[in-house]
Amino acid sequence: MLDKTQDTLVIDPVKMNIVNRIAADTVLAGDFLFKGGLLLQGTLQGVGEIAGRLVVWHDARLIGRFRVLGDLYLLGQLGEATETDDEVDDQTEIECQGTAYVASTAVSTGTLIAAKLRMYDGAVLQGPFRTLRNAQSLPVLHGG
Amino acid sequence: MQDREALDRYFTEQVVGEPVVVEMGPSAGVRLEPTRGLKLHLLEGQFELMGHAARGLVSPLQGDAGLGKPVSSLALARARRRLLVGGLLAILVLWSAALWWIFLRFAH
Repeated sequence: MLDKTQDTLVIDPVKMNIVNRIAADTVLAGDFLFKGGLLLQGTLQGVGEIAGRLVVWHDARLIGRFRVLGDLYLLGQLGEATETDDEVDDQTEIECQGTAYVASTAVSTGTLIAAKLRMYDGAVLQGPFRTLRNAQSLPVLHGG
Repeated sequence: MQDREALDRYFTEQVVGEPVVVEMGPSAGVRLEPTRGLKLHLLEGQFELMGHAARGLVSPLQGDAGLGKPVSSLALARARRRLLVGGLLAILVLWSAALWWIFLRFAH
């Protein structure tokens, strides 16, 4: 039963074009390009781009440098686990061109860059957050 | 020939899964970091909520409330009530005005 005092999110993979999934207990490392959204339930490590929405599920972990062209829903972990509460994972930087929704179960030790941030009580942002400026999010065309 | 769209939809449903509802956290105490002014951002949120509420009044399946954007079910129910009462009042006022106009036109 859902608690009425909580904000709820409906994730409909078909309507939200989340066509990729990394299942729980799966670990992937490397360079990636996902066409369409991604439901991450395992661990994804490396460099890449997600051309759509990214859902980082509870217990899932995202490590490395990734660019998300849609919204980001963070329910799990961003960055490596650290030994102390004030330590930051310098290797993880996620750039989100949409809104980053950080749920109360989320923990981020990496750098989060997003156009907008919506963070719930209980979420841990151990790493820094930066606002993505419009100039950063739009591609620059060079004439010539 | 196979319908590519139907096939894609089938695999998405089978592999990624069916729609799920997840709790994001307490509705009270949401922190926002907007690109524009906070007031404008909050107004945008209100309009979005009213949009969801209006769609929910029209569709028995409650529209797409919460799809891709977390919403508070309490706030949504409150917005629906407001819309319903406001709509009924507007209909009543319009009906009274129409009756008054007819009365004035044909009374003489």
